[in-house]
Amino acid sequence: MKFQRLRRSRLYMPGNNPYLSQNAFLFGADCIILDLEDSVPPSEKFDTRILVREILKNVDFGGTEKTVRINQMSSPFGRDDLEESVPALPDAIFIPKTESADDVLIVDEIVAEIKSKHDIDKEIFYMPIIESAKGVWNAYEIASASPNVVMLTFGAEDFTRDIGAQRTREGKEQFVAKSMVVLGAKAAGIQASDTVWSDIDDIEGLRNSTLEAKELGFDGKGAIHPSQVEIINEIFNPTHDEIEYAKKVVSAFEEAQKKGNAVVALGRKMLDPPVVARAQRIIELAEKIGKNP
Amino acid sequence: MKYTAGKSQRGDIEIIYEPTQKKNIEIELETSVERLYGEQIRAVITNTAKSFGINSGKFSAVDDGALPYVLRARVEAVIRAAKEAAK
Repeated sequence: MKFQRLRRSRLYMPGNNPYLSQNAFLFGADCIILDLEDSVPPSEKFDTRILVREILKNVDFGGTEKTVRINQMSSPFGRDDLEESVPALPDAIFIPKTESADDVLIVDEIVAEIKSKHDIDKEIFYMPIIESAKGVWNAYEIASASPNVVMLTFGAEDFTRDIGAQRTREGKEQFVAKSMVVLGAKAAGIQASDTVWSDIDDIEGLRNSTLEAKELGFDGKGAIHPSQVEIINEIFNPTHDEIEYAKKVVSAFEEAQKKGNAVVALGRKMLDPPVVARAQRIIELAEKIGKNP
Repeated sequence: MKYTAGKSQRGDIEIIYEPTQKKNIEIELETSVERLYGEQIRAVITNTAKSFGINSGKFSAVDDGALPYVLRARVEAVIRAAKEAAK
């Protein structure tokens, strides 16, 4: 698995609201998305992409990953979004409504052109958003389209519309799709992030949906309001018991390696390599959030 | 023809640019921080306009605490829109 940074929460910020963006890093999200797509009306796309470029260049986001959600490349705005934002060096680009590897490769080609024109050597990652039946079906192909794809994201609103289902609070209609997005991402060795919870006032719904996302194998979840970030982060943080168990597993693994044993055991229980890998990941996460002194 | 960018919202500035035949840049500014930052805001508008080769025209601005980079972005937007329309 590639080196992966902590991506428990990604917070959407409308790109046309400079006040929200200038304080965005205070909200504790691992990733801030300056949105050029759905939250920006067509009449403001032009002004907003200039503003977003200036935000990227001038706002200190601290350790938060700073990203941009562009418009679809098939729209009249996608290419201009890249032309304006890539020279301002975002960490990653969210690619909406991705349905195939080609959707990623088109972005990759244009980003490469812009980077070459501006002499940029910084790596810019891609985070395709899967929000259609076709996209879900092609999740693995999308996830492995380019080495710069680091995370797949699921978008439930457009997905449910696409399959002709009603979006429900329980989310049964999204269950298979979410699992396929997780599987596609994990098969390609990258992360997966769940859809947003759209009802800001429904804290219990957000909590349940985030717990389910963690159980399904997602690494994080989207937030549409700063108040959602803390709950999402907390749920994706490893628990005290998980950390303690992971420490025992890793220490048993290191002990076995020292002794040259091929088999790792904890007490009378044999530990398979995936269990060790998961324990190492939990410790890495715990270190990142300061829970492993 | 007038070109507008930005909104009357916190941290933003609404700018209306109108190309004119005069030989100078005219700025009409409304801001609650006139006494402290009025001159700086005018300077950012003028300097940004000049950096795009604009030496004339009228800028009407309603500011609600926009930081300099927001000002620059909004001025750039109206100027580029005007240039695009003139093509």
